[in-house]
Amino acid sequence: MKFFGYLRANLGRNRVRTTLTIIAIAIAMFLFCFLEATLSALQTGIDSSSDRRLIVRNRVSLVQPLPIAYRSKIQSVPGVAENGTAFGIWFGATWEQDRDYFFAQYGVNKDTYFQINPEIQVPKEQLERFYADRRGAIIGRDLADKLAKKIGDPIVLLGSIYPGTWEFTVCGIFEGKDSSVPEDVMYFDYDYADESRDESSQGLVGFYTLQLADGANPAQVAEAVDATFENDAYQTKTETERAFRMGFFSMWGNVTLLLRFVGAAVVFTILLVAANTMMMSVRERTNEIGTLKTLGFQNRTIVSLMLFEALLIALIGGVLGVGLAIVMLNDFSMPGGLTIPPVPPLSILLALGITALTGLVSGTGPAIMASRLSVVAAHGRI
Amino acid sequence: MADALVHVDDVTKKYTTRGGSVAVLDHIDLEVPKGDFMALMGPSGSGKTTLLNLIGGLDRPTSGRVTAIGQEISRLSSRELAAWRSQHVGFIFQFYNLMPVLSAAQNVELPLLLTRMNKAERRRQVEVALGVVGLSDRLKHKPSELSGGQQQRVAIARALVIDPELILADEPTGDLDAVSARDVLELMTRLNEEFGKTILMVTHDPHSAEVAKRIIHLDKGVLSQEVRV
Ligand SMILES: Nc1ncnc2c1ncn2[C@@H]1O[C@H](COP(=O)(O)OP(=O)(O)OP(=O)(O)O)[C@@H](O)[C@H]1O
Ligand SMILES: [Mg+2]
Repeated sequence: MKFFGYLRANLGRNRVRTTLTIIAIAIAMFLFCFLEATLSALQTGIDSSSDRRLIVRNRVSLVQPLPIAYRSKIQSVPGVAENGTAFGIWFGATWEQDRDYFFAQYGVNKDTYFQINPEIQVPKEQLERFYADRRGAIIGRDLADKLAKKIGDPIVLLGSIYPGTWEFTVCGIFEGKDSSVPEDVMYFDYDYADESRDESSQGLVGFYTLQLADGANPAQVAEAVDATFENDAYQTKTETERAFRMGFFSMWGNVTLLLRFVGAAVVFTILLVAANTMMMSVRERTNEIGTLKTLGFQNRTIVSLMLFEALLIALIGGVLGVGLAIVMLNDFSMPGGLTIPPVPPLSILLALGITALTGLVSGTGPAIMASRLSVVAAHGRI
Repeated sequence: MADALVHVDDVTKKYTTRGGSVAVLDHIDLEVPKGDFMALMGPSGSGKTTLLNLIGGLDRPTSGRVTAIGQEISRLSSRELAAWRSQHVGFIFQFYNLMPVLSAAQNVELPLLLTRMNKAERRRQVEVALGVVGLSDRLKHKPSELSGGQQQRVAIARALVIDPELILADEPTGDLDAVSARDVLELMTRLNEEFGKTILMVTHDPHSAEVAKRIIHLDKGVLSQEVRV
């Protein structure tokens, strides 16, 4: 570490260039962490979904409804568990106190929804209270914290799909079975929303969830459900919850792959920039490297110094970028609803690994160049 | 001569370029006694720097032998040469060759980073060396904040700090005004007389050469005469 003074002085050699390189690497690593966190959010949604539940929706598109009358027909399809159907609507309202703060609300059927989705854990007495209150709502722990609501508090929403001002009372606060269950969600009674509509549009639901009976084959049951409504006005598309969520995220093409590709391209570009910067800085130093060699510095010492310098620049940038991502993504919602979770620890390690690799790779060329330099030739260039 | 510090023995140095092979040094013999101060003169391109590089272990002869400080350096590997240089030879260049980002003290400290000295010892050596060249009050200055003469004195301190037996100087006053040049030459004389350093100095300037104990001329690859002053 006695070379530290020399290294530090070298970083200050061209402050603007060093700073720009550090910023470039910091931005690259910030983007990388941001992407990783986003991807992990998408992945969590898929991971938490069940293969033992099917989602039934309108064949035309997700936003087209299905009649509530389908429920009994779905229930009677062989392979559906007893009391195995639930349904819901996407409410899409905004919070009166902060119209930019987005969270999902679902109007669901009271009788089976929470039995069929046991990963949404609501204390029994709170559920009782919910069943007794027409305007009752059950909200996730995260949402309760963010809205600063406790049981008994009112929540007022401004409807869009369901126009008007909607008042709810918090009856229960649920916790996800594990971290993969989103907790910034609100559930309330489907009937409350439905009864307020004019009669022509009543009796429509957004989706059905059905629980498979033990031993039932998901593909066969899905096929049977869709066959039931083949000749009806509203045809259905049935798939496992997992397939449904994966399909949802691939609406814009294969997002995951695309994001990863963009991420890789960004990192690669930054690497080239960093490598080029290091090359330039070595070329400028040809004469100095010649002097170091004259003074008796061994090639391996000079190579280590070069590599270490590149590594140092890269790591300063990397740590800044990753640090920023950790701090910023602590509690971060994208406009439009997706909550970006904290950067996964594995991604942090990966980011720092990539940074170190960037440093080493960008330092290798210059280091080789420096070590090949003959003392005599270097001195000819004064 | 047994007490010679440097033996150059039938040395030829050829450079091969596209135009063919040119012998820059052609069967040269030279001995530099211990404690000598020798000026090496000659026209541009006569091979003075080439000879200095061979003696300082920066380059190897095409044929012949170079022995310096009891070591046949023409047989050492480049790695061994680097280690040998760092212990035995101080170099001074026309354009000082200081690290622009380092302070005077850090520049002088550089060769000591290759030794086993601890920080305090290095610091003391650096202060002594900069004291010898009269720059004790410029420790923290960057080269760009020093005059040419001062920069060359820092370079001399850097050459001196490892306490080398041999100092090789390639036109140390070539880029300096008359006053600074005189200071540097006085310093070289002191290093030779007071500290007993053996010095080989390339110069174009006959006045500069006069401070040396001996002057030799190199012309067309041959050491043509030797003048005792
Ligand atoms: N690396 C090299 N490759 C080819 N030729 C070289 C090389 N180095 C030096 N020469 C040639 O060798 C000759 C002697 O060069 P050298 O630098 O030793 O001369 P010099 O006496 O120091 O000259 P000056 O007084 O101008 O510094 C020159 O003709 C030069 O062109
Ligand atoms: Mg020369």
